[in-house]
Amino acid sequence: MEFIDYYKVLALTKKATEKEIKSAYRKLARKYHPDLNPNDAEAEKKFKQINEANEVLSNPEKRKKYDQYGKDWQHAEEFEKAKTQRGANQSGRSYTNSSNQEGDFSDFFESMFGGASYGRQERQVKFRGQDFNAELQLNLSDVIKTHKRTLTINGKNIRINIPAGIEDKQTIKIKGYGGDGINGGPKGDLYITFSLLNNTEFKREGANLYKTLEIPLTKAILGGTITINTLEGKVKLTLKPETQNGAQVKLKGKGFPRYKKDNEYGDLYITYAIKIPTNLTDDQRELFKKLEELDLK
Amino acid sequence: MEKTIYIHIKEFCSHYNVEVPFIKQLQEYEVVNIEVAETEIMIPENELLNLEKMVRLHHDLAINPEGLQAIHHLLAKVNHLQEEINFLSRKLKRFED
Repeated sequence: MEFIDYYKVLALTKKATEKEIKSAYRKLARKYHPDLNPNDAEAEKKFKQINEANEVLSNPEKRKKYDQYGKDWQHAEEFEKAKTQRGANQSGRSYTNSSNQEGDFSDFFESMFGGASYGRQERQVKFRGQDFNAELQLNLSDVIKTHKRTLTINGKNIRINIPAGIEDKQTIKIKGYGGDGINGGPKGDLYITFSLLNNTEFKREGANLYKTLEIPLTKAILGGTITINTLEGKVKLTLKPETQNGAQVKLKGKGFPRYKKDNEYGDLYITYAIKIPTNLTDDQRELFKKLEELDLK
Repeated sequence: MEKTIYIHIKEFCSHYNVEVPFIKQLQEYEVVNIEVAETEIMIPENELLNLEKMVRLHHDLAINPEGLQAIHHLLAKVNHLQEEINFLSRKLKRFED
């Protein structure tokens, strides 16, 4: 495991005074404190190192052991015991190079001082884990019905329920699926923001749907039956005679499902756009002329 | 009906080793919301995360209430800007696609 040079972590030399250690710690802690760097895993990692370095270097006893044994300081007590025992029989022998084990500073910290909380002068600060943010792109047609989906977040598979009627840009929180807490703090949360691509022929506003439907001029004038698409299939509509351009009809309950409300749906609004015929035949033109003459009378 | 849980200010202060006037000052600077029920000062549960954050910054970095007020406002701005960046990135991505 990699040895962490605490002096390097705090950008100090071995000759640093207590005041310099305190000052370096405060300076770096202000820069990397997790509360000042939300959602920044790097800063969080750095802050843990800075804290650890400060806890050892600001304590004269711990610092002495660290200075004396360097990377092997996790065995400091063992060395001390061995030294005392052997002192009677042998003298002048160095123990500093007797261990081939690579020391990990954090492990040392725990074994040496009986766990992370031992020897700390101040209370141990617990931090909530980092919140994770993820974006999920879906088609609008995917959220007509409630369904389950498996997502892979940071290597973990999470099966989530996607409720029908979810909105574009809506964010849902999944508690406890964020990063691990520090010093036994609670886990962070996972926030999933939905990005919906409209692959339907409707415009959506909340639970209501809108559609503009072109109808032939003759049908608008004479009335009749038209067939329109809804989310649940085709529906026949009766068109009143003399329907005006821009007239709107509401199909109650034929809109989008309401979010987290079972069996509740918005409405579907159909706006009629009357299509003016082009490329008229001679007969048609003649008939329109007749109409014009009738209008003038 | 939704229930709000309150924590007595003295209980909070003794747990986090802070003085009552410190919390009152944060309230005065509009960094946290505390409520007065009859003569007792109470902290609503939904203010705890925010207040704990301020206490951590005070303890860990020796930041005084004036500094915490500035940090509180700046963090709110950072959060708002971050949300805006996320929103615009998503929008831009749509155009790129």
